[in-house]
Amino acid sequence: MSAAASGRKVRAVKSAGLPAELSRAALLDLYERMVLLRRFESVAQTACRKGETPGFLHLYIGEEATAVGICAHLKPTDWITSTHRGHGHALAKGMSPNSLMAELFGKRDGCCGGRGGTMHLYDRSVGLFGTNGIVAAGISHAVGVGLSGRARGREDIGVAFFGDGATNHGGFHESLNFAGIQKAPAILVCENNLYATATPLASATLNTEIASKAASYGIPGIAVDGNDVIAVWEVMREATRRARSGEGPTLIEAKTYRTVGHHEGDPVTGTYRTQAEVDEWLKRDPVKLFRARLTDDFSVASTDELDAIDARIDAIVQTSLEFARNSPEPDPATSGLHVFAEPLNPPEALVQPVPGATQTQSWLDAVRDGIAEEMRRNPHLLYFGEGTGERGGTFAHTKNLYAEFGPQRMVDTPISEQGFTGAAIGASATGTRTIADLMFADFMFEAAGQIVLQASKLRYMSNGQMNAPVVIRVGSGAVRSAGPHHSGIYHTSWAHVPGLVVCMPATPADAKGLMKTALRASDPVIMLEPKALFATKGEVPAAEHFVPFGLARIAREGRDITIVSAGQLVHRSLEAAEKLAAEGIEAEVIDLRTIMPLDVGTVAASVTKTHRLLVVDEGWGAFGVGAELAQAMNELAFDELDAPVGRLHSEAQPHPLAPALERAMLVDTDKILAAVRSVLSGTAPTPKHWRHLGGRTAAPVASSPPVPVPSAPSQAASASPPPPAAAAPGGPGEPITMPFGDLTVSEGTIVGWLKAEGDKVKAGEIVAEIETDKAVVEIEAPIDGVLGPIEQAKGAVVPMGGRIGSVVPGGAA
Amino acid sequence: MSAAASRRAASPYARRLARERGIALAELAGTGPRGRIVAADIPLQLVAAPEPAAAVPAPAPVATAPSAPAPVAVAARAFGAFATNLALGPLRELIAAAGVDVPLHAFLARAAAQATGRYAEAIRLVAADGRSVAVAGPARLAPSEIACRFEAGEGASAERPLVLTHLAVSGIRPVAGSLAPDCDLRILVVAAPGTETGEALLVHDSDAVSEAEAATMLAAFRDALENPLRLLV
Repeated sequence: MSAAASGRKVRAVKSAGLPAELSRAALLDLYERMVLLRRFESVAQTACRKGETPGFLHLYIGEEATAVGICAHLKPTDWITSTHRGHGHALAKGMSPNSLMAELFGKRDGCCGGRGGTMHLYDRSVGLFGTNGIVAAGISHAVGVGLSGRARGREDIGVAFFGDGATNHGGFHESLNFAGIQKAPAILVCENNLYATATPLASATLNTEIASKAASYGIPGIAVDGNDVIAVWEVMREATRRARSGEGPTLIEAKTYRTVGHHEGDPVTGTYRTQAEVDEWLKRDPVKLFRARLTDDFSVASTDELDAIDARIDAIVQTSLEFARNSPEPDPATSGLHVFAEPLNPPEALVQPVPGATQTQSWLDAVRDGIAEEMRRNPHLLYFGEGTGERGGTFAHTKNLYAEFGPQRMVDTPISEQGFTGAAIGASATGTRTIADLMFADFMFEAAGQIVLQASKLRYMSNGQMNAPVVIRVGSGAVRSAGPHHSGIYHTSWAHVPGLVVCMPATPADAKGLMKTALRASDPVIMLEPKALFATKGEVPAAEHFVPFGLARIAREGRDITIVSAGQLVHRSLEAAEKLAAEGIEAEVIDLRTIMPLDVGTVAASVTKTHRLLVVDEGWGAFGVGAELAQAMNELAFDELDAPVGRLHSEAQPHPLAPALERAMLVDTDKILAAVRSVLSGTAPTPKHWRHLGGRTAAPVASSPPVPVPSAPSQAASASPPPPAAAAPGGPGEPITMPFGDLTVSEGTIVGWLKAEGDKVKAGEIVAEIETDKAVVEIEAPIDGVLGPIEQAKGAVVPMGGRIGSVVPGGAA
Repeated sequence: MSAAASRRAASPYARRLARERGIALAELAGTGPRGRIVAADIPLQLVAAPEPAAAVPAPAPVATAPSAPAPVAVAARAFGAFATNLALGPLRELIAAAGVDVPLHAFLARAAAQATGRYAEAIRLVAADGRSVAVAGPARLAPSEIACRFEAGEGASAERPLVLTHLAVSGIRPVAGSLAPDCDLRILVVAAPGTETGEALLVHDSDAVSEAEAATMLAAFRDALENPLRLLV
């Protein structure tokens, strides 16, 4: 018994109620398209069985009415995103059958030159933003497409096709919610064919009425008979009107059925459905149903006339088959093309102006100014982020941008990284540029599928037709006990992926220059700004300033050893170099600035001078920057090495909260000094991250003191809490310190002392005031007692955590 | 077995130095870890005997101005010269990618200034069409700026400029070049339009510039052109 079929609401359109727009010509056009989809796939199916197509196909047979009814309302400048079952969508949107068949054959004349194939069809000329191998991945792209059209003042809309399986995926929920809150010009079309591969919808969710899920996001949801092309056409007419007129998105659930197996070669019934159920649906075959209505209900065509259409389509499909068979194989020499833009750098970044005036700026202000300059220049630049709009950003890093550019460009997003990153990718590929601000580098993994599987591969999959100029902006790296979920940097994970540019600047000028280059470049850029440097200041060129990708900066020249670093550890490396200089060792310090591309040429040139290399990197060592550069030197400068290449990384473990534990795992100046000495003596420090059996693990374990406080200055009272970074010499009594505030404040000025030395104070009593960039902070006495010597007088500038005085317990003065 | 004897541990750099200086590793004692021979263990043995053809032999007595018939009472100058091949592909690509109309000689001038340091307080740039303009402080100028000043023809006269001459011919290798009385150092580049390779000759006054220094500068010039992004910063 076919419960599914009989239990469905079928919205039959009475012939009398046929919409006026559906003229005879329009009806025959719908018929012709449905026949095209059917005949094309029948031929493709045969070719697949013969082994003419590399890989297997997911066929759309049985669902044609949905694609045709939906796409009948779309213009070539509208975009659709599709699924693994997307040949029907491609043809309905207008792709040439020749181009499609050749792509299924993996031939040169296919729409993607054989790079993509069935599940990765892209055609910019007709507005096909990809079929997709990842369930639910295209939904957010369509939302972004809509936002992109709106930002550019066009009425183009984005339409996402997806299956019932996608509706249990976060990509669906995040995208619907974001589309709703943004009133995005988008339409979300679920083709509910009852099974996600072989999983029945009813066994995957308790609410099988997919249209009803729209209510959760405050948008209209409507279910329609997906096998009735006129019913689909009518529902889509209203959804399109809403989208184009700014009323927002609509969820359409088209109830339909695939009458073939999940993929070609998969049995039609499988283990999950019965032949009786398939037979029941075959009676409602959309092509047969519509043909009967054209001849019987509407009397717009005779059987002979429809046969003539069928024959014409057969000829077109046959031609496409011959076209695909005759198309040449792609040239193997082109296999590596279209991974990155060629050239990778935008032209602006390659023309350096004469050095001019500079101004002292904080990191965040410099980058913010760079973004504002680019937003003024390019009105089609959107900024998506959590709290980066009206609130000005968690780190105050988008301060004032909302006031200048407004809510349509400074888009405040829900905390749904996958959804808005996907939308940023979709928007960036269709005419706007976007920044997706994910706040912390750790959070990027919430959007990792979109970054790695979609953005990084888009140029390649589409054979260079499309690209995603999106900047993923995050605060990265360890700073003051941010803990396991807010301290990571992960740059090598992203640099490992072909198609991504990874920036990790160390100075405000480079941060601004790289951001501006990223906003002119045409590939996805991961912009990792070290949180520990947010409060730093530096000289920033006042004029237009770009830093090219793949060009390291020589931060300090030297002759005895090369230290290569990036991000916040550049500064630790420079400190180490100064200490070494006092001993007569001149270290050259190289700041990589971008991890991908990696400037191995500059490193090799330096090694040719110094003959020794130490890589100092904040990431985990295994499979990291140190390993990469060491091998690069094997390849480029082997005969120059007078000692093994050394590497120094954060220990391979999560970031703990406790300062003593955190210090033990992080790279600091003392560790760099020890590693330099080790390389100079001809031995590379050996990491213990491999965890291999029988290795040399005994030495490092044994060498660790029971309480690892490697870099703490000597302190008498080891029981007291560990000193802050800028510890002053300790005296008796309890220290009074400048408290740690938020990440954007690095120091404060003492406004005045409210108590004098020797005064009695109570715990919690205000003893001094310190002014920072953000506020005046009242400093309390830590305990009852007598105020000891004032160590930092009025007017002194004190670093965060710095000691300013002490309170001696008891009252004995 | 004498495995240890047959295989002396030595750093790659030490091996290279030993090879270049004609020293057998077996004769040396290593001071590195576990007796590894490192660069510091290789004696600084200057090869006095016939110099290997590391560079084009210095054309010894190229007199100052061969056309001048009257014997002027100027002390004879001692010259040295070195030649090298240039891979111009990366630079051509960079210029194409930048999409700007900056001529090759501006990049050559910048590279020459960068490579010769204090000898390039000023540069006299002699372009392929024969025009000659002096530019002050070229190491601090972007190639585009050097090109502007060259086109403006501002002749900043300077003490002992570096002379950079560009000849746009192909298939020709320079082996000797003259040195004007007012300068100590000259780089002559032969590179035809659009070609990926070129030749460079460095001529120096041996009293003002040592041979070692001159050779190092020419190597730096070559390296700068092969890593041209460096010319922009």
